[in-house]
Amino acid sequence: MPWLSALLWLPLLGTLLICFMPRQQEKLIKGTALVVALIDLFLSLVLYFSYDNRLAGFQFVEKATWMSSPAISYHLGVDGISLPMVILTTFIFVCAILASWNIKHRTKEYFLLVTILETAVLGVFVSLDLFLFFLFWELELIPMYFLIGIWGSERREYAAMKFIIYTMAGSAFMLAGFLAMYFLAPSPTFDLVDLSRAGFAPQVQALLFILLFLGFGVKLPVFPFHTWLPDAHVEAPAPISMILAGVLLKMGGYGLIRINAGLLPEGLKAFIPLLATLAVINVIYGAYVAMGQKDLKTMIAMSSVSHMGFVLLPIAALTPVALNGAVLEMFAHGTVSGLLFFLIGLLYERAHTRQIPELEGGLVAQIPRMGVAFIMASMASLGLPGMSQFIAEFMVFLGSYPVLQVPTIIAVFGIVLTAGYMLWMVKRIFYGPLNPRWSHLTDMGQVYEYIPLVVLMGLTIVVGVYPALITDWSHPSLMALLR
Amino acid sequence: MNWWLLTPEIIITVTALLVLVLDFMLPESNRREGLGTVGVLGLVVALLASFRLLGVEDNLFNGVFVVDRLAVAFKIIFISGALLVYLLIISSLERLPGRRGEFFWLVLTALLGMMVTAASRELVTIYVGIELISLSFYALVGYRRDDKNATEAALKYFILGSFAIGLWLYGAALVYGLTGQTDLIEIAKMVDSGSSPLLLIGLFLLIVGFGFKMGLAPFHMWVPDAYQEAPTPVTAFLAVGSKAAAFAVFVRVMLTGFHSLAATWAPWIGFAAAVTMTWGNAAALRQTNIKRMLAYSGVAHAGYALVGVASASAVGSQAVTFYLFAYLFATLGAFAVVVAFSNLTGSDLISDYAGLHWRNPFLALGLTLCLLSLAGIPPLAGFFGKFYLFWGAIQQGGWLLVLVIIAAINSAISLYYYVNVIRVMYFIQPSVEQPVTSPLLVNITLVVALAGIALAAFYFQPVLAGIELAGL
Repeated sequence: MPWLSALLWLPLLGTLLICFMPRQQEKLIKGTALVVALIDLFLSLVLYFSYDNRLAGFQFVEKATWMSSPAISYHLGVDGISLPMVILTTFIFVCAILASWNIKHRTKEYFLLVTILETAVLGVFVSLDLFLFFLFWELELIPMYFLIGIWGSERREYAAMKFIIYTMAGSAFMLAGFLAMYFLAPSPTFDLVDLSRAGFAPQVQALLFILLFLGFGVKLPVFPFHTWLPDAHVEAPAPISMILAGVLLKMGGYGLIRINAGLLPEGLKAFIPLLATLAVINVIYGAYVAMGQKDLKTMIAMSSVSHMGFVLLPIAALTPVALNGAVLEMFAHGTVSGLLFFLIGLLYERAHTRQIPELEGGLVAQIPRMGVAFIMASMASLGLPGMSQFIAEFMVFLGSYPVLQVPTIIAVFGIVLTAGYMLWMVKRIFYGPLNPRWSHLTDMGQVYEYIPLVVLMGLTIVVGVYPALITDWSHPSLMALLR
Repeated sequence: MNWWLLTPEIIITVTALLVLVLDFMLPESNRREGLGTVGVLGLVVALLASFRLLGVEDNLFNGVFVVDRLAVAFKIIFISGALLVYLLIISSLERLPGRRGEFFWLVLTALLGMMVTAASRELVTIYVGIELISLSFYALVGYRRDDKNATEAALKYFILGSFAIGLWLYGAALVYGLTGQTDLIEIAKMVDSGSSPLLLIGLFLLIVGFGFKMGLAPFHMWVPDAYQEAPTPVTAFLAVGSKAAAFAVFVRVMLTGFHSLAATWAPWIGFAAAVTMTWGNAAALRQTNIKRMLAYSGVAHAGYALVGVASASAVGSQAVTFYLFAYLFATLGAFAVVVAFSNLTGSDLISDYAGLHWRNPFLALGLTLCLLSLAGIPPLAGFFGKFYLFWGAIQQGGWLLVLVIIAAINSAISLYYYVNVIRVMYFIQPSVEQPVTSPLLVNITLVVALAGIALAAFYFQPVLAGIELAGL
């Protein structure tokens, strides 16, 4: 059974089905998208549980020749690094589709694009051929452009355009890097597995590293290429922000670990000081800017920039523990930021504002269930022990410190800053005397509002208490990657 | 003497003459349908005849006229292009002023010129082919005789084109004077045994002459005016046919005749490529008229295609062919939408495309796919074309890597103006709710163009294999 192909193409099959549905049948369209995403979630769990986590190599491999010249193959496979990302993707998409249940504007197109997006993102994580990887990487752009540009808020067109131009510029360099790799390999190939044995000369690796870093760095996003992110986040509708923060940023981190660290370790060594500096800037600068934000979404977007620094730092440190932390951080941040954006979306639907100064005042008394969820998500984001982001960041620091003492010590202060702005935000919005302006707000009631909450919170706590659910899977693969 | 090899040309010639005669004989009322039908039939037969020649390697008139895979591949491109343009002409004919008969006729003579150009391996024949294309287009571009702007554009095109072909002839004369040959293969033999500075000047003049015809910066000044003022179907044919023909013969001249001087001319071409794509993109960013935008984007695309010529390799020339194939379908598809839109609204302004999605979803989606293909977004044909071009260039290494990076940055920039049209169509509510109806023939053209884009994308390998045979 070609499990990965089924996983990959199922959402696109959903797209096709939705294509032929009349646009008035909104329930049917939403239902199809949800069912497809649920089956995909189920498939990914099947993969997860039948994956042998004692082995390091790729599993469920499928390979077929696509073109002989240039040598391109349809090569799929997952290992302990990509599998957590696949699971994260399928979970986030189910939650995002539920969060989109209230979409009334051009429903058919919306779900068409979301299902295409799911195939594109999964394709990035399961491709073992760089050409295929690139195809899916680019395929993600177009649905995202429309999703931000049509369903976003006031400055949506500007944000969508900025998103597409930034990413496209980055991926142009990435493509140049892939092509260069193809020709510099002993026998020309785009195959990731073959390329890992290619043994490029250190100078060549350094050059390739720059090209690929420009592509992945924009997506992660690394300072100073991060400015598209706050715009895209603020303008995108809430479910799309969930996908953006939850999964799309991880494509950058995944690429950096899989390709930059995995294929070009010698090249990476030349840039360790630079990477560590950028990581620290991301952490501190992102948190500092987040502190000054009035808009909830901008704040969480900047906190994502800050947290992605914790993915970059381990890549500079290149120790197994740190990288394991990075994979875990990607997973944890995916669930936690997904949850935060989901809750902001719910709040915005009711209050029609995201400005912290306007929302100020004792909301927890008015909407206790949403308030508690919000507070828990904020705690998870600031790294409360027992939640997944705590253990991830702990591992990042633990693994990075022996190699990069000073940057690690500075980065730890990022946690303090995060705690600062998160707690301040929670205090201002949820505690204090009740603001009469918000006395009409209703609490969560619908089932489709609860499910994403329970699922994402559950994942955060389960992985926080028992992180081996991720790390036992990723560790052998990371060891193999570093060897 | 195997006349069989000339069948496509003969069929087109006969069709052209038939159209000319029928123009006087048919009554006014059904002239349009009559001429259109005859032309389409002739083109279809010629297309089938060309397919039969795939795989043949032969020549006529002592090598003056060659039938090889490069020539046949380009003939197929030209005839399919002409066929689609014919459909566009028929569906917008009532908006064209003056006698309509010669319109059909001139398209066929231009096509004949393209076919001769792509098949010639000898300087005089190349000249004849190019002039046949140019003369037909001078008349076609100035078709709206009563319009001052159209006349000005045609005049500009005519004067610059004559000037260019003059330079070209001067270059050809120098080459002939120094080598004593006009046949490219014989020239190559002479060039191999040694070159002189004067020969390089001759080669340079040839490149400048071709540069005008291909619309390379800084010889592209005629392009936007001619594109904007010509009747839209003519613009479409000018954009794809005339440019591709110039490229076909350019590749042949450079790689067959002067391959041993590649180390000298490749950097010139590389420089021209960088300037052309950057200039074209920078200008396209500012356009508000969609025809002008497509004109400048066409300049940029000529720059990309030149990367393949600058690679000076078999892979490079295949990449150019494939790229032009992808460009042809995407551009014709885009022009099909422009024709339908301007037939109904009389406007070519990008801002008037606002909300086209609500007024005609099919046209909006078709134009979107064509523009995304032009921008090089996978999995559409344009992406594979660019990929293959870059692939060929990187294979050569050295300064071509820099050129590829410039091209990569340029394609990111170009995304802005392509996506801008998509943005206008999908994001902005229309000021007029009235639906845009698209004529059946335009829809057919668009479907064929989209099929071409998809074919190149999903059957990349077979299409490529077909062109691979067409190599040197």
